[in-house]
Amino acid sequence: MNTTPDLPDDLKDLIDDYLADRLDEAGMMRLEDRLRAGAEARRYFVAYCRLHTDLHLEMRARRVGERALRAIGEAAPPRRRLFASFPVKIAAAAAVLLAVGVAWWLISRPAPAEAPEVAWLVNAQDCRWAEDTPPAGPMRAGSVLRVERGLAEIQFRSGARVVLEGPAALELLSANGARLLRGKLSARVPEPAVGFEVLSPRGKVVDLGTEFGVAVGDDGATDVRVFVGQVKASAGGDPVSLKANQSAHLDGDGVTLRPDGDGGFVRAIVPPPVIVPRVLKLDFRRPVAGSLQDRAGRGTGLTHRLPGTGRRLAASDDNLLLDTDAGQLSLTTTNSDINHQFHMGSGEYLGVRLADLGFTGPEDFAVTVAIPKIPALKRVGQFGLYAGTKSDRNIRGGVISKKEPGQYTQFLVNNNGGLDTDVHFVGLSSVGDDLRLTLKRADGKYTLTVANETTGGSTTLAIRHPDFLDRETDLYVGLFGANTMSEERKTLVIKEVQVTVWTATPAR
Amino acid sequence: MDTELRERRKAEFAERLREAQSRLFGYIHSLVRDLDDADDLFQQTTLILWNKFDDFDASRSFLSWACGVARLEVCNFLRSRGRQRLYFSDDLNLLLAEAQDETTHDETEERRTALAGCVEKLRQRDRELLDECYGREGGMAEVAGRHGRSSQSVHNSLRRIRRSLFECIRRTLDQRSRPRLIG
Repeated sequence: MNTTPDLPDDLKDLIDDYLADRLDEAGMMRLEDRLRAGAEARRYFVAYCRLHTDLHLEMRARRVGERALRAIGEAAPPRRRLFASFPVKIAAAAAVLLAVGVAWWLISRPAPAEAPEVAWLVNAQDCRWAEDTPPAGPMRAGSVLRVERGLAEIQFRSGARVVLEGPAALELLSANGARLLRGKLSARVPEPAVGFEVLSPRGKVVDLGTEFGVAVGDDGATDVRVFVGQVKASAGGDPVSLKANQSAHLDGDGVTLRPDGDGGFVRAIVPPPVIVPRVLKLDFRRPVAGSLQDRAGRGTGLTHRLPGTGRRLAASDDNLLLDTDAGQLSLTTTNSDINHQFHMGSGEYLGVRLADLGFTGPEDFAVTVAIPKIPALKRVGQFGLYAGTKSDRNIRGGVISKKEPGQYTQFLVNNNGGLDTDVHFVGLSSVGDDLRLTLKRADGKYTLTVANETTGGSTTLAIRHPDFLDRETDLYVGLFGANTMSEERKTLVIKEVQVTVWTATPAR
Repeated sequence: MDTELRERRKAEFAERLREAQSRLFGYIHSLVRDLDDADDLFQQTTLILWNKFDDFDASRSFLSWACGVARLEVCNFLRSRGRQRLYFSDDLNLLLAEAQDETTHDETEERRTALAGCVEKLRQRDRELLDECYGREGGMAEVAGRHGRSSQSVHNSLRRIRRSLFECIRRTLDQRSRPRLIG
């Protein structure tokens, strides 16, 4: 059972190179051929890959385990080399304090009354301070500023300016230095203040004429990011120089360079933009000139089809019927499927172009539609909402007909290149229910909510974020209906469509 | 009654998944070689497996059924991902699923246990390199950069360590199974 076969060295090398992603196309073909040719080779491959996977899991488990042990201050006798190094002792002490819950005491030590004034508050935004540190007047050395949330900007006597991002605690040490006990700050240091120091539980950052950020986690581990200029970072050992756009991690192991990433520091307090929603609401009570036309040539109010769809549909679309008396639009489904791009030319995917509502790329938006008394589509028949740039680059969701007659389940799925990915299903609706569907992008993340007004339930579904849409500046949103994989067409009644774009204009 | 049946099905599914999950995850990881991608695909696959559990033929191997579903998910994923990386063709993925099915859950578990012991026996320096390459985010190039080594040289060290671990696991399992293999 355990007799793993041995293989020629060149084949083993190919497998090692494969795992390290070091094979070119020719190498891949050689490896594929060898694996196809022999069951022995495949058995070895499976066992060796198992080792690779297990190593990931094992080493991560060890790392987490060690960190946890360190945090509860009971690290198994540390190796002597490490124990001798200064930050570990600090870390151990800090960990013990944390463990017994008196770290707050360290933070809230009263400042000596005669301490010199070293800094003052210059700006604050949405800032909530911990109760016992009212930020009034000049601040003395030894005092601790504790921001529970929001931003506070502090100017040091030396000229250095710090933006503190809550939750954070900063101890003022001198006119040109402070200790970040927890949280995040960014510092801008003008010429006369060069040498500005930020200490942390795990080390020290000394400015050499620069702009930089420091973040201290709950365990004291510290991250440093240089935006402009240069700093020296140390964690017990020799200081390490960091230049613009470099980042480093300071912990018990010393200073470790980190891959790029801005670390999400707030570098300046900018007045918040004014968010102005721009709304298009269609109630289908009157024809709208210049929009997509129903079978009688009346404008429905919807202006754009999802690019790549509907090419073969007539300008006065036979599948649409506007009923201004009832205030509704009927949409008869066609047999199409975004997945595999089946019959996109006759697919009904219609809505608006967000740019018409002021969308330029970063804005959040939402599209809502009310569909009463949903009809029975055959299995995998589906209707709902979409957002995207074209038929094979979008996110869509709604309800899809299940195997059980008359039952629908809610779904949301990405499509980038024609094939559906990341699909998720949840919930259940029945034929005849009244639904209200909302596809929304909030804080850049997409969700689909189906409110079932018949049963009173509401379910919101999110899937892997469609990052392929993140940088798009020209998005289309709208609704769709498809009797996928069936020729049995049904008619949906659309009662109300609303599209909102939350546009931002900078505050004055 | 209906809910009772459903609960029973759920328990049955959970039982089968528990038995197959580490091999299923290993299968996916061996094809995509990225832990995060493997995580996502594994999650997606299990969801589909549960949704389709009614179609599962209990006389067949659950693992091979699961690998089949995973294969399609991997295939979709690769198509959506473009060609940033080179991947195997689908027919080979099928053969590898069969090879995966030849292993047992117990063997997989034994391998993992043996690995923990074998890592302990490594030289300190080797263990540290493993920790850097496997225990943290970030690529080998980064590790190489940190140590002022070429990534080829880090790769060679890793290969040597992996092979010695592989050998060590083999010896451990052989010793453990020998008494049982009499005859």
